Amino acid sequence: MNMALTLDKVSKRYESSGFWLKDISFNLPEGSILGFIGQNGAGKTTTISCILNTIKKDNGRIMVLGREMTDQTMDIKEEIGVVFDGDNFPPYLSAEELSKVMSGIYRKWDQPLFCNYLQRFKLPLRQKIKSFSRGMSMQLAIAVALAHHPRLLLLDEATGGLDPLMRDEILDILLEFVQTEDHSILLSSHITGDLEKIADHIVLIDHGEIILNKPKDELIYDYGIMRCLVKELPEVDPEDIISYRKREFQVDILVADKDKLSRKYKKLTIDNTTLDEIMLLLVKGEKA
Amino acid sequence: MKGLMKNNYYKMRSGFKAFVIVLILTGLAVAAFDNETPSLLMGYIYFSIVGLSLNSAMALRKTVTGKWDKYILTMPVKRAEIIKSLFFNQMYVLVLGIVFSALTVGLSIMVHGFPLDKGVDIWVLFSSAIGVSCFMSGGFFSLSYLGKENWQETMLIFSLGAGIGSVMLIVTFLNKIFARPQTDRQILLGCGVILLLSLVAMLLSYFWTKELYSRKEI
Repeated sequence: MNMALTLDKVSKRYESSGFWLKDISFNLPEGSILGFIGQNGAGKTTTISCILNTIKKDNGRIMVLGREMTDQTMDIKEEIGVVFDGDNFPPYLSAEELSKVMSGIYRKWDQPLFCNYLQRFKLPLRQKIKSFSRGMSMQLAIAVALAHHPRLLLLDEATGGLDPLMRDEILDILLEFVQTEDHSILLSSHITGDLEKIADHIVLIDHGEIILNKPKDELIYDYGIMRCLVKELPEVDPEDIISYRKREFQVDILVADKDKLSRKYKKLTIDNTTLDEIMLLLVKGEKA
Repeated sequence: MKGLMKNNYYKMRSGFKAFVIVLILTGLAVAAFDNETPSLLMGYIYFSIVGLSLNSAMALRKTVTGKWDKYILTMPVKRAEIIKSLFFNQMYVLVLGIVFSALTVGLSIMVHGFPLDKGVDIWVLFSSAIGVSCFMSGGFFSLSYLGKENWQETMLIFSLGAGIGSVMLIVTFLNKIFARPQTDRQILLGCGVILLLSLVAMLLSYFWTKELYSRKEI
């Protein structure tokens, strides 16, 4: 299987803040969507900045579409579409002027496709970007990211702060994008609901470390939350516990194979889980 | 590069338009005014050449809110090209300033005759204004990538001062070398030295700014 993106032991240390991205490794196979989750400050943006080469990694290897990206590898940059959280473009431009700038930068800039997206999003052509709402800015960023026919989309918190209807529309567009076999998406978000809808793989980062890297279906269908009383906790085999969290009268235990464990612990309840709960238990929970 | 230049144009457009209108109007007024005392014409040369460069330098390095500074690095442009586009832009503006000055001076000469004592004096005015503009622009672009973003205005004023100071220093040095009264040839040579050194300063500043930007993490 070809990889659109490979990170191998990538590290980056900030002496001033003490933050450390520790040996990050994961793959994004072509034709799939990888959900990159983690709480604020976990290292998502730093990782994406390393991939995009806007900050320099200290160690490790990053392969984008099969090659290491540097400041000189323009052909790889042609194949990447990027959407950052917030205002991506200068406020002094209108969408029309922005397209003129972009057509002078991207060889494969597709003006009719860009106009098509503007029409689809009902975005004005001549209005200055500074007067755009957050939703409009994000839609414009998606339109620009797609209008030069990229093979890889990198979205950093692109759906944050949008209303559910707009988020849904953007998720539909992303799903359309990966219909083409060699198109791939890395979507960083802390809105795990979006990723449950569209992601194929989930990578969870916390304090600069990858603490989970699994196919989404395995997390949704195999993982579960076992509920037991505090006094019942010692009866659970530590081997079966990924992490647990004590509440007032109850303990929530994250387990990896709910069907097998429901047969093993017949007295205990094992519920289906969500990415939110998995993230909460892995980040805030204790190890057995 | 074409896209970057277009972006630079859009970036400086709003303030630039007003400045160009003022330049045209003052240029016409200066050309219409009797040039027996040439101070108005001299002032205009500095105003158009240095003023236009000052205006564009500030606009080009004005901090853009949001993620554009980061986004631009994800596009298929080299960091060196981003810096090159800034310097190219500044050179175009410099040429525009020279054209405005030349047109106004030409118009004034056509209407009122030659205003200065010697023909070569006009070259002194132009070369010193170009020198100030180049030293200022080069210094400012480098400093703006070296320091914090909210210091831009301070850096621009400092660069303007440094630009004037540099040209004055060169002129003082030339006056020391060439005994008075200077011949026309010596004056023209001095103008050439000012132009050459100011272009060298721009070139050095380009390489230094490129180096600073290549290390910048955004």
